[in-house]
Amino acid sequence: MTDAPPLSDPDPPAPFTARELRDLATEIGAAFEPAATPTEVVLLDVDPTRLHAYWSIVAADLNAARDQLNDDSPDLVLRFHDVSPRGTPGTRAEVPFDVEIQGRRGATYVDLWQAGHSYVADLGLRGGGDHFVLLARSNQVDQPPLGPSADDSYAEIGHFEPEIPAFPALTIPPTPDPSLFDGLFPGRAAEPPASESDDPPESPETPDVVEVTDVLDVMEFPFVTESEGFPLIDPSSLRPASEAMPAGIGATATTTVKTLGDTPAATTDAPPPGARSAPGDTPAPDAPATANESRVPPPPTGSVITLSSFSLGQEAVELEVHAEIHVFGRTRPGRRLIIDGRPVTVRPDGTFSLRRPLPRGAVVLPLIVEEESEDEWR
Amino acid sequence: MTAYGYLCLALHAHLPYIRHPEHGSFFEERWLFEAITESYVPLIRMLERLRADAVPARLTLSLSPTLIAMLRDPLLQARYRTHLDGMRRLADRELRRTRGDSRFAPTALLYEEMLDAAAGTFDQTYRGDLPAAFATFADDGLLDLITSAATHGYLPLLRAEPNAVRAQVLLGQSCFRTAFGRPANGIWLPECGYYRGLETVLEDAGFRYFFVDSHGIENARPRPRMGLAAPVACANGVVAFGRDPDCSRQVWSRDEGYPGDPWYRDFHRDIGFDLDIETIRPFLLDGKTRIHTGFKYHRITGPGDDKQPYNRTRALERVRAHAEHFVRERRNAVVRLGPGPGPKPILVAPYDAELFGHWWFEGPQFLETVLRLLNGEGPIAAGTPDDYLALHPSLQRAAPSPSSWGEKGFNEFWLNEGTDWIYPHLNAAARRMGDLARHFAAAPPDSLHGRALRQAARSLLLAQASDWPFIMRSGTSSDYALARVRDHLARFQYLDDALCRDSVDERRLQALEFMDNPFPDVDPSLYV
Repeated sequence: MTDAPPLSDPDPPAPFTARELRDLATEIGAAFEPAATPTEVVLLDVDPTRLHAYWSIVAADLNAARDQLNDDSPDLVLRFHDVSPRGTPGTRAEVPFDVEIQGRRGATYVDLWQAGHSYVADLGLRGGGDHFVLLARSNQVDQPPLGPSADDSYAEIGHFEPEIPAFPALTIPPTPDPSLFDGLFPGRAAEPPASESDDPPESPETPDVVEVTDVLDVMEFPFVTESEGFPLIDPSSLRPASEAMPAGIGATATTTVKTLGDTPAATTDAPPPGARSAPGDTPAPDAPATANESRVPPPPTGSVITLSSFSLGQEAVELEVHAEIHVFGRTRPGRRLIIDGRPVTVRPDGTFSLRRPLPRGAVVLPLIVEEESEDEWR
Repeated sequence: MTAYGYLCLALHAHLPYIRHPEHGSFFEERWLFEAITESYVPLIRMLERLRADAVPARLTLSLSPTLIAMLRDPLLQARYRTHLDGMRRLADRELRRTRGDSRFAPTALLYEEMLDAAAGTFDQTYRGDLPAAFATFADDGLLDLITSAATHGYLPLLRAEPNAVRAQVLLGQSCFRTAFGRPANGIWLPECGYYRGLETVLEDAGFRYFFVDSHGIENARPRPRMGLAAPVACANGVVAFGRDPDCSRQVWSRDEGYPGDPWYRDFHRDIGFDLDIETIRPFLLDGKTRIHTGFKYHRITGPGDDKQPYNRTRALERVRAHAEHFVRERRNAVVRLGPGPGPKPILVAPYDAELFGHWWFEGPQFLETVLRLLNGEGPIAAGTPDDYLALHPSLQRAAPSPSSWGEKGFNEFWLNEGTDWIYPHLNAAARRMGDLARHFAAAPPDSLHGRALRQAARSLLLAQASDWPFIMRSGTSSDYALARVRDHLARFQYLDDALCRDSVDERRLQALEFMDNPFPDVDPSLYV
């Protein structure tokens, strides 16, 4: 057996060029796909009376939840629990309220009727008889108060005197061989290398490496089909103008008002717009502190509320109801959407949403989807 | 400190991490270059003058970790020198172009002097290391240096993944300590964004105090007895200082603020847009797209486009008047408040550092005049939070209210229908980073896995900067901001995938390390 020939030194790696860096950045950027997420719901506070919720649901979890309900068409809801500590100013809602949502991935904003409270939301399916199957529970969100605290107790405390904190030990920095980058910008670092001289000049406003639309056009988003639960908008599904308003929207407002009409005088808060009152016959939250003083006759019980904003009064109850349409969905990134004559922003991940007051009468939202084809938008 | 009360001038110097070695030059890198010339160097020269005159100035300066990293980056330092050379060539040409024109020649000369001073300060005095310059003023007692979260992540909207907040805060402190050899006592919360419980993380990182907007103190629980005139201590003893609204309004307000004075230099009239394109072409980045050059010859004058030539003498007269007014108002405020049995009043005046010089051309002169006026006998003196805490070992205990200094005072500027899509991605990536850090905890730091893990953390941190949703909401350079979020998330995802498949490509990793190179000592275990 003879010794293997001695290994020669391997060739040193080739230096990087600016183009190689750009190509790599473009390639990695183009391959980006939103990561798969577990079944979850997250709450974020926007301001004292508004919060944002986003959720995702794994299809298997949704199917398993459906199997537990004896209901062909359960509602997907966010069930909000007021978890404010005792003594929080305002009226603590003793029962949860529901906000109906749609789609396995989505987001919504929820307007609240008082500031300074804390909430947790349960994402789940609600079936007949108010049977509820939990899919996920959110983090707790603490809405800021709107004004000074009524608590004027006084106590002093010594302030924090830090010791030298125990920092993590410094690790070895990554040190890519500097010689690999020496050739990038010979001489003055800002001067482009000679090999790059053919490149078109870079636009100061839109540098060539960050052409957003180009990248989005080639992004492969993991679209879910309608059967999987996410509402892709199909223009052919638009309703003709004469067709009645879909029951869901009006039913939400109707339920709200009917329940509030039954509100005991002792409770005076109203749920947020778009929210359903507490399920079953449990007591409803109280009326808002800033209720409209004007008095108009209450609508007949069970009627569909078609005004975007109105007030009504009874002996012991004052209400102000704001009803809104919240349209949301997802399309392929890069498309343009026009809903009801207004351009709607399509976010980089293809989602879009539109909020508008609920008008009188049937709601028809003409939707136009435009896609760039051969340099034309169609 | 023997005055009735104190004025705490606090400047926050921050820019997002913008460094593009994959391009020969890059428009957004000019944000740093302009800030160096127009704000940071004038601030340093102001401090030099105050030190030379033995003025006992006390100023609080926050240097964000991304800004420190950029100021110390050799590539950006070299590019700044190139930028400055170009500007000085332009100054030379402007001197010739305006020669004999009494309306504009003095201003051209002013710019030439400013650029010469920038070159001298940057290269000759401090050899390109501006953080070291600020450290000398801290050593001499003129400055208290503090810092911010690592990439200026907007902490209230990252808190769904607590380790994301923890990493931002602890790494911010770690970067400061690496840069200055000591920890910072105070932290500038990005956008003054505070939520209840954040003080626990601040304590873990060794921060004694932070700043909040006015309503963070006014709505604290229980109600602060001295209102905004004194800080409050959280339950763990970390102290919150609240912004004084009058200090803010008189400097920030578009309608009432000093910077809108008709004699001050107008920001928008610039030869980059006024001159013939052929004349200005050599100084355009791509030779065709007009940009702000920094050469502006007109004063604000009033509404409309009809602007009068800038008159430096008159502008400096207004600076003096405004500084005297500002100090007089603060004196009156502390006289109204004290002396009393409780803590001495302190009025906190926090501003973006780039306001002074870049946006408000005469801002550095205003700041210097204020600090000199505070030196005189009187009821008010300049002080820093550390000065104040040394005098007041105990404070009222109260829980500050969640707040920010953004429009409307809460989170809406960073969480709205144009930016809400970001947060599911950021939070998912932060959670994933925790998984990776646990799984590869045993990887040696200099192994491929260890390096890829740290690079993934850098990508996540860079995606979390509050600047990107801020820019998207503002509508300026929003395509760039959107691309930055997407690119950093994509790089995180690429590294995540490479780690999980055990297919880390060293050359690609080297390229990413070179392109996104802040925080060489980032510790992935922060996410565990």
